[in-house]
Amino acid sequence: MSNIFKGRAAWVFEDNFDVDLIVGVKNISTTDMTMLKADVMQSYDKEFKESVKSGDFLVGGSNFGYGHPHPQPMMVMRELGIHAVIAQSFAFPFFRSELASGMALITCPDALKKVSRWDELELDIEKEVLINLSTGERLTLDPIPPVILEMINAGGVVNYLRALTADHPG
Amino acid sequence: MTHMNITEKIIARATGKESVHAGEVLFVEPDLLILYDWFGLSDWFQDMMEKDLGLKKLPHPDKILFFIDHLLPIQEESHAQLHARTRTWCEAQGIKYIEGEGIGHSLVVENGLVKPGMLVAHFDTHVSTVGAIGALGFGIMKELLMPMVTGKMWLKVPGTYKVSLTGTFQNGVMGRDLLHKLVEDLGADGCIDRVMEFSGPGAKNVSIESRMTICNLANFVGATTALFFSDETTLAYLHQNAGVDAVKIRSDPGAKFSDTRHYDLETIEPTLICPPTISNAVPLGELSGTQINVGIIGTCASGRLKDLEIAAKILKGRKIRKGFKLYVIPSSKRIFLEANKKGYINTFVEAGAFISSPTCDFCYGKATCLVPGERAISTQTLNVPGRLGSTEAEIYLASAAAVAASAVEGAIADPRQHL
Repeated sequence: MSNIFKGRAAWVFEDNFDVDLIVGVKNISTTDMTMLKADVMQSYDKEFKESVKSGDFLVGGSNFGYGHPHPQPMMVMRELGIHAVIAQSFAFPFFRSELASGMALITCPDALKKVSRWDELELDIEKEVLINLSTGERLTLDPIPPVILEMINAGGVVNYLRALTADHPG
Repeated sequence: MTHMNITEKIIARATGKESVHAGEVLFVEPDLLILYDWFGLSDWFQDMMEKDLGLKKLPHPDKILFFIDHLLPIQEESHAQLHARTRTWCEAQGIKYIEGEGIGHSLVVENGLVKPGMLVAHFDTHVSTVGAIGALGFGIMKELLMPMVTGKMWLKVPGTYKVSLTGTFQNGVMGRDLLHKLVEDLGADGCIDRVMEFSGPGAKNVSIESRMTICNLANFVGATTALFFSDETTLAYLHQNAGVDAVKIRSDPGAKFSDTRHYDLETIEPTLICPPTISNAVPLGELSGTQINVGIIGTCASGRLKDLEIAAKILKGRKIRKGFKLYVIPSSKRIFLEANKKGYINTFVEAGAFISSPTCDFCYGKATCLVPGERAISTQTLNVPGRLGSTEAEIYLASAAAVAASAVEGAIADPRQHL
C-alpha cells in the first residue's frame, strides 16, 4: 500500500498536552459518539468538527498524551477522519494505547516549530519525511521501526494479531 | 563485556540476549501480565481474543493475574455483571483472579508475586509500582492483547535517568515529596522515553512503601516507568511479608545512563501537586492555610502500613476539623488487619475518619464526590478537574502525612508541625 498521505494540520497542540481535554473529563468513560462529537474541541474551537476533513492530521509538541490518557478523545478524532498525530514525542501509555487502536503516531522533532494550523502536509512514512507544502520545508521523522509500521499498516493491534494468528487458531 | 543498567539487564534477560542497549527495538517475553476489571478494557480483551481472533484459550494463562479491585463496593448491577463475567472467564481460561485481598498494583509487591528482576506488563500505567522492589513494570494499554495472545510484546529499550540518593528524610517528609520535587525540577517531560532508576546510599532510608509511591507516579515526569535498585531493605521486606528469598538486582559498575541527578533527602521539603495538572508542583509552605473540605489516604499510590502509621501518629488523640471529611482506605486486607492490631484504625475512627475496605474507587470520583468550589487533598494518582466529581472542584495531591495534618487543621498544613 502507498505510504504517502496528504492532509492539513487540523490543530497544533502545545507541549505536554493532556488529550482528555479534547472531549472534557466528563466524557472519559462514555462510548456515546453523539456526546463525544457534541463536545469535541469545544474549549479550543467551537467549529472544529465542521472544519476538519477526512485525512487531516493533528500536530503536537513534546510528551503528547501526558497524564492518564483515555481512549475517547482519539475515538472521536478517528470518527472525524483524523488519520495521524505528528508530534515531537509521545507519552508512553498514550503511544501504546493509540497505536493499538489504529492511529498512526509519527515522531517528528520539529513538528511543533515548523507547522501552523491548516498548513497542507505530505507525510511519507516510507521515506520518513514530512513535507510542509505550505512552507516548502522538509522535516525529518524519527525512524519508524518495522513493528510500528506493521501496526500502522494493519490499523491497530487486533488486525496485526489477526494476521499473525490466522495460521494458528488456538 | 557489556556494562548494563538494571533496565537493560531485565530486558536482555526477557529477550534471551546477552545485552541490549537504549533505543533498540525488540520483542520481550514478560514474566507476568496483570489486569483489573474495567469496562472497555478487561471485557475488550476477552471479546477481541474470542470473537475477533477466534482464540478459545490463551497460550500462557499461568502468566496472567487478574484483580477485582475496582467498582467496589458494587453500586450498579452492571458492575456485578462485569465482575461475574471476569470470574467465569478466568476460571474457563485457568487464570488466577484475586478478589477481596486489596489493590493489585500494591498487592503484587506485598505478597511477593513480583520479584526483583521481573518484567511485568499491565494495561494500566501505575503498574510501575513494582519498581519498588527492582522489577520493571510497563503499562501498555490495549497493546496488552499482544502478549496475552502471543506471549511477547515489542519494546523500544528506554534510556535510564539515574537518581542517586544520600541522607535521610526529615520527620514528616515522605517518598511522595521526593517524587513531587522531581516534578518541580524536571517538569512533565523530564524523563520521557526513559526509566527512572533510584539508587545510592540514601535509598536504604526510603521504605519499600515510599518506593512504591515514587515508582507508582513515574508518569508524572513523563517516565516510561521507574524502579529502585534492590538492597537489604528490599530483601528484608520480601522475606518478612511474603517469605520470598529474592536476589538483588543492580546496575553494573560502568553502566551507561542518559542522565544523572543527585538528591540529599534531608533537603526535601513537603511538596504538593496543585490543580489542574500532575505537572504543577508547589512547595507546601506556599499554600499553608488553604481551606480544604475532603482528605483521602489510600489508592494504589498510598494506603500502605507506613502511610497509615504516620497518619495515625498525627491524628492520635486529635479530632478532624469540623466539616472536614477524611477517608482512609488501607490498600490491602492484610494492611487493614495490621493497622487494626497496631491501633491505627482506632485512632482514625476516634478522630472522625471514614474507613473503607480496600478499593480503587476513592481515586476517581466513584466512592466520593466533590461539589463545585470544594477542595480535596489526596494521596491519589490524578488531579485533572472532574476526577472527583465536579470539574469546578480542586484536587491537591500530597503525602499521607500532609493529608492527615490538613485534616486536623481543615486547611493545607505542614506535617512536620504535627509530629
